[in-house]
Amino acid sequence: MTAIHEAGQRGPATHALVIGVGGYKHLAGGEEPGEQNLGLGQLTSPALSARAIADWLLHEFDNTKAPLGTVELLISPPYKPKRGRRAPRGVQRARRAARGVERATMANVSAAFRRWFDRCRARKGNVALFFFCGHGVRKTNLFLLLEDFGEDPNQLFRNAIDFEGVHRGLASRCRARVQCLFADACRQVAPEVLELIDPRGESFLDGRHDVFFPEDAPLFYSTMPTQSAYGLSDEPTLYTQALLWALRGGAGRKLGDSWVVTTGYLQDGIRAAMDRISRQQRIKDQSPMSGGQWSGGSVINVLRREPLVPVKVSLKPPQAAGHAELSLVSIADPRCRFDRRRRRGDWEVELRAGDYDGRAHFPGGKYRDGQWRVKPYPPVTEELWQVI
Amino acid sequence: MSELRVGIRVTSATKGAITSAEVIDEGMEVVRVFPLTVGQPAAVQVEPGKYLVRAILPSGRVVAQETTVDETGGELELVARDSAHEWLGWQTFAADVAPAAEYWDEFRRIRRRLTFWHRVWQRSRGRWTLRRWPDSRVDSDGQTWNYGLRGSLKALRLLQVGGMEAAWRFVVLPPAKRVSVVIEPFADELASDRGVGLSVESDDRASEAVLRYLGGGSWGAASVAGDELLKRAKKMLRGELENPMGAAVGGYYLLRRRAFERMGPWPRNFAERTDWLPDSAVIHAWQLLSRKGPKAIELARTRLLQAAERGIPFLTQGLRLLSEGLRLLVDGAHKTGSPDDELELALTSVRRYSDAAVWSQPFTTFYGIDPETPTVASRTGVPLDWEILEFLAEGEGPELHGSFPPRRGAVAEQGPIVRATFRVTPSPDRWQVEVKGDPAAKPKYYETKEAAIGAARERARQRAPSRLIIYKRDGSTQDLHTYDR
Repeated sequence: MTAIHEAGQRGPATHALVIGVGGYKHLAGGEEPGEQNLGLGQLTSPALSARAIADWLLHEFDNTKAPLGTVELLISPPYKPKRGRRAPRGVQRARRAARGVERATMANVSAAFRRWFDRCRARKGNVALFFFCGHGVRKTNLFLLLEDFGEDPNQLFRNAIDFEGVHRGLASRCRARVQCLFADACRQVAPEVLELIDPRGESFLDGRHDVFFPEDAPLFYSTMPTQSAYGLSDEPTLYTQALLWALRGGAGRKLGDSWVVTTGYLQDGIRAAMDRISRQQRIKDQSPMSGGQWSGGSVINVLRREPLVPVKVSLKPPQAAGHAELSLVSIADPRCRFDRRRRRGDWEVELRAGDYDGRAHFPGGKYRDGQWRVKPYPPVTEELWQVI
Repeated sequence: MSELRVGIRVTSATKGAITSAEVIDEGMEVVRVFPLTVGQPAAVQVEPGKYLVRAILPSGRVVAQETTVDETGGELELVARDSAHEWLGWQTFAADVAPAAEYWDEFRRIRRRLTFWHRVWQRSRGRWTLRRWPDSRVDSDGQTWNYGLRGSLKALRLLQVGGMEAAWRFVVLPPAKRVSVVIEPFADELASDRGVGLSVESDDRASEAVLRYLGGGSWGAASVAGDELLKRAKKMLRGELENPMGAAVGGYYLLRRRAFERMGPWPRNFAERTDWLPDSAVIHAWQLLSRKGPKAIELARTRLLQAAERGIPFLTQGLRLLSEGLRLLVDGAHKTGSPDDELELALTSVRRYSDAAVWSQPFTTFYGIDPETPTVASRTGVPLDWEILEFLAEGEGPELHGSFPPRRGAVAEQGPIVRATFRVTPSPDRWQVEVKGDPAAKPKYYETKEAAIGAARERARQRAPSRLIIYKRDGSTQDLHTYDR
């Protein structure tokens, strides 16, 4: 069994299929490495990413119109290094993340997909979420590689998922009104793959062009075609971190009384987070993108409180920052206060969305003190304080 | 209710671009969402109070400002971040080029010799032929080059770019009145750029904005801007075609929304009136594919074959839909036991472009040796057929602004200079030295390559500023040298 959550929901519900593949049996470092390995090997981040997404669903996700119904989770941790060598910390963490969960072989994923599909299509009001993290290879479509990829060198992609094929099949066979598919995988082109005429991966469902059920069917990719997707060895991938940040409120908007994350603005939140994370990690070659079809207004997650918003305060002229004591105080709760004393460069801080009293005080008198009203709002807020 | 007037100020180059704006009240609730066009203030009705007004730009950046509206109304102007240069205004707005602070942080003038070249192809009667580089204006700061050229509304055109260290590639130029081409040589920090950063924009700012929102996945903003674009394009929907670029972007937008009913008979008219444009046929094909029945399938088949015959869709989204559509019908034909050879041939041909495509660009871009030979392996160097080929504009100093191509003898302050070009190429049993663009100068022949190179080098030095290209016997480029006064 791969279901780690079954709420027994009667009405519309959110059903998730989460797959993390870091262990590849027939790639470098695997139990039976094959000749056609496309230069790929074991990974540590996917197991941690999949577990992080699953944990978010179980403990933080909230959607009153489609509460969490089920979560199917499959994880293939990286294979152990050779005997006598202690596994690196990232591998140990990844293996812990996979405890109690079935491995992501094609047989297991096929079975889980069928269960997930049957649940999703049962009601029109359902929300279908699909998340994959692992190796990806692009021809015209994106192929997501499962643990037993490369088992048959004569049919290389037999144990790979055709991501766009799944999207098309699901949209024409499943009544769920919202179908969001996430692929956290590289989209590089392997020369050996280019030589193949028309490789076929597994779509699980036959797609039809004249039938389309969902209102919203966006596709989310962690990176542009031909680019790589990056991860640190003992953390979820950078994209997963950005996605979670967006789901937790980085893509939030207040509609009525509630802060919500919708399909219309989720990608904006992911991009903003990815920009920030990429800058911190000094990565330039990963730009998330999205595709598919959408109406834009479907709620994916309802936040329990105001989201955190990255705020950047710049002073004009910039050299004033070195003389300034800056502060941001919440108007609703003055105990919530942030300060920075006389430091060069921009001030970057995370604040809850709301109203703040911003001040710049210059003890030396080189500039005149100033006061501003700051209203952080997702995905990012940039303030330019002009001082005299 | 009171009227709040909202404007947005960027650079003059962005006038006409549609952005998505919103008004947020003191309770942080989004109370209004509306299209906001650069250069055209909008009026929205709100209750008196304090608000945060934001605009989401096509680049993904957000500009925001607080304001107070009283019983008499309110007024506000949003100001977007500066671009490094006025002539990079649109590119910064669309995120093809970094905003000023980041641009200058990473600025590094190109000090190495420039080996980049560019040329234009045009499709006519089913074939691609080279065309003289159109009269254009060029601006450069030594890191980035921006060419502004006249576009074509009647024929498909390709821009080809390459260099000694830049893989040859092609971009389908959008069918617009004016087109900008931005070249950043040695963008080698990004492996995906393969030696040169290249972006293309049209002067149709409204359509471009929608395209960027769609490409960036800003669905919420795309809905606002896209609906506004279609509202303005009523003539298009009635069948009158003035702007094929706008029509194509509007069509793809509606396909993404699966708003087939809104399309009406317009896609058919569009496809028939622009028999040179692949995208119009693709859009109509997908409208037909949304319908049931063999007649719709048959018509869709015809349109997809037409699209493949017309050339390459100018929008990347169009290439994807063409490839998908052909594949769907090929698979369908196989399932019924009646393989369709014509479709399979078309799919094979289109797949070659798909395999070589740069999917991150809004306008179809692919690597290749010539328009009929797309290949991700591509090539570097300078083509042997060099007559209608222009090298990247150079000036006396790093900055240049002026007409391009430069006219021999014309002297413009900070304008591009004319650099004479020599080359050493193999002939059947000897080596020849030629001068580009000088019909009076006949080729000279030498027994050995070394002799030819020596002679060519001497002549190039005498004619400085100049360049010398040396080829190998197989026709590939061996080296390129430049000589200055």
